[in-house]
Amino acid sequence: MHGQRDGRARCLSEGFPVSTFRVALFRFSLDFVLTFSTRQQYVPRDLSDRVFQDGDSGRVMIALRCSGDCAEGLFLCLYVRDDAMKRWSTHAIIAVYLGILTMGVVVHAVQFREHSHPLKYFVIWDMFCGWSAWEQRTHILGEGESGEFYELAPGPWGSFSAYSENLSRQHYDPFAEHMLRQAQNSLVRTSHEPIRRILVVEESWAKKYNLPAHLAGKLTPTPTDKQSYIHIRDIFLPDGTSVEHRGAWLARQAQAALLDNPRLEQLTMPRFPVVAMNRAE
Amino acid sequence: MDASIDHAETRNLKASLNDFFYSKETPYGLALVRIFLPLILLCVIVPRWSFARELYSSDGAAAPLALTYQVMNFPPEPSGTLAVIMMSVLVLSLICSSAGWFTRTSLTVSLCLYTYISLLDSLSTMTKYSAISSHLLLILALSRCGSVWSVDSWRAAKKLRPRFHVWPRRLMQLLIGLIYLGAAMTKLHTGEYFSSDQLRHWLMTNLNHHNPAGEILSFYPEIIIAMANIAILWQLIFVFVVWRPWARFLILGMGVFFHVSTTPTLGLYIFPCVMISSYLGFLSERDVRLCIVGGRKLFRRFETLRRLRSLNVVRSFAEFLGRTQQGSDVSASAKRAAWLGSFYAWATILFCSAVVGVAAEHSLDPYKQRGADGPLPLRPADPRLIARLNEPFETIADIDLVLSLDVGSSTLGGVLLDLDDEYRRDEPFIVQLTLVPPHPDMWLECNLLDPTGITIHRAGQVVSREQLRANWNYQIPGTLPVGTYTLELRTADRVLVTRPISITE
Repeated sequence: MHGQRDGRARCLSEGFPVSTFRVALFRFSLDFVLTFSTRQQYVPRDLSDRVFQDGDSGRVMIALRCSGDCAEGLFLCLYVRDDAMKRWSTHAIIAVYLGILTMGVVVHAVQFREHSHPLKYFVIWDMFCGWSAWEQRTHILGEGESGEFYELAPGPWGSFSAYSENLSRQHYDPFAEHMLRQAQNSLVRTSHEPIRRILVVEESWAKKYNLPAHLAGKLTPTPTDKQSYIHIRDIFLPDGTSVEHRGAWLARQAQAALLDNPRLEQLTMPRFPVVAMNRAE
Repeated sequence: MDASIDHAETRNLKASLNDFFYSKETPYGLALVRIFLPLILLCVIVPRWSFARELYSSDGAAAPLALTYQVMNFPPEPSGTLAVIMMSVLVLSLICSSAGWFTRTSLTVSLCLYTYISLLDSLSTMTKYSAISSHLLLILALSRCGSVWSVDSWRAAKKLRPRFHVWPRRLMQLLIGLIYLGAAMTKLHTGEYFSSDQLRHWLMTNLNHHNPAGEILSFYPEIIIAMANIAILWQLIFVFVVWRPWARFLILGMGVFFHVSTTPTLGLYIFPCVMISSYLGFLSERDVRLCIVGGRKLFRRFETLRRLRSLNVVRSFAEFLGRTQQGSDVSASAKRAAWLGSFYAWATILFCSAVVGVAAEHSLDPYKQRGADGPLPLRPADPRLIARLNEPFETIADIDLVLSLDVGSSTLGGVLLDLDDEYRRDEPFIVQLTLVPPHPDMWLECNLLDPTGITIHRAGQVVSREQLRANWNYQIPGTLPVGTYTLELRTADRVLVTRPISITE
């Protein structure tokens, strides 16, 4: 290896920053990593501070400038097992990444703690998991002190339709978790009379009414008028205090369908929730 | 003996894995993904840019995904101005990623910003295609996709084709396979997927873009059932079969068909584009080179295109981007200067995009608060809606629980296969009622009325709340005169639906 000429060492670095970065990195790791050795080797002056691949062994080495007493063109070379380190870091990336993806598929398959952290959204592929036979729209209303009602979402400055031609974002919140925030944002950004209450109102209708008349007639030849159902889901004060929570319309309908049974109703009615108290207190 | 066989098998497995992940190729496939994916994401980001303050900041109504998981302040909400800066820089970094200008840095910036802002808006930004896009951007950032067909490669002016390990492309392929496997698990958990009920209602929804083909397809549950079974089978085997040369284009072709068909049937646009662009990661170097050879043959046929090729209209742009001059006699200092010049140009453009973005957003006044009359007044609510607010809670009307009343003679997966309204005497047929959930336990009758309107056959049954279908089997006796009869679906106290049916010789 000593006296190896220019023609046998191939410069790997392409530009100044890469080379500088790697030089800095290897200098830093000199004290910590014992996977390389140091030798003196001839390399042309203009290729100093570059990363080389040894012509015989294929190992990566780095040429550093000598201190003053070195002969011209003779540099201290660090032979680094760069390829092996790189290979192991690549092994680790592949293993960790595939491990995380596999974990997502498995926890979803066995339905184990699927919703324990938001980042699980990135590894659980439950596209189109839910469905409903009902088309629903959400209205966020503000009731002024005069008794007038105002539309709080979308705001008067305009709406953004993400996934449809004309549906604003409050219609894509099935759990009604972000309604209040939208209402409060509209109240802060607009002029209005004092607002007494904020109402979250659901409007629902059967999806068969979405079909054009000529197709709807094929489902049931008897013509029926579209009927929608209005349900106040939540009532808030403008400061965000919850006044009343009535739950989602679909959940209430499911419960009503279940309780449409005199025997079950009789069994259920007297059973109020009980909070156990410590008798000793 | 056994030990030596085990040793040989281990070595073979190791060699196979080594070939699978560490063989070398020119990353054309990933370069294609790099070119197309950011362009698709621009279609997501650009329309949202002017709403950045409202959608992603503490000055608006951000809707963090983490709230659904009962996790607070994840990630922290930026101020309105910072959200605009993030969106503006994201737009430019996506453009740079697609062009391959400081590819790895641009992709890393795009990945961080896109994922961050997606997490801040679960209502109108974060969907599964956002999650998939984040994965794809991560893999692209890890890869050397900028080494070909990019400004970077053009700037470096290399004469030899660069070759790198193939593992980033393998990760992308495995990602797609595991996404489909996970999606198949979801379908396996949803019983109504196989009976067409779920898909039928998805086809009728108006929550997505216009989907006229979906509305028509919802009348053919037998096609839906067949397609649903093919789709789940395809998703289950995808990750295991797509590596086979004979199956690759068949499996991927089915995927393209499946995703493209979601546009007219479900009104989806971005999702199919993201998935199809990710399929480009399945193109090997050989596939791309075959396409290039084919393209060149086509190119030679057109004289105009050949002339265009001879024009060097981008020379000045090359200098602006700091393209390294050809030849090996270029000094290191010249290379260094070119690189620095290019980097400064890239950083300056990103910085300018942030500044211009903030200024433009300020002048747009997204909340219209600086108008002549100050902030906008609230809009009065629809009086028809207000008039209905005091309505008491009412259960669903029986007629709204009925989706369809159909007549046919055979079933597939519990669903009528061949709908018809004309039957011969002595020919059996089935009347099928489809209900929508939730409904209570019901008593329903399906009666047959003669042409004069007199009930000649009455059949009732209890339909429990779990059932979405009820069948009545009919066989018209040979003594019945031909004519147009009526099937009448009714509860104990009212007629819900009627359907005419013709009895012939």
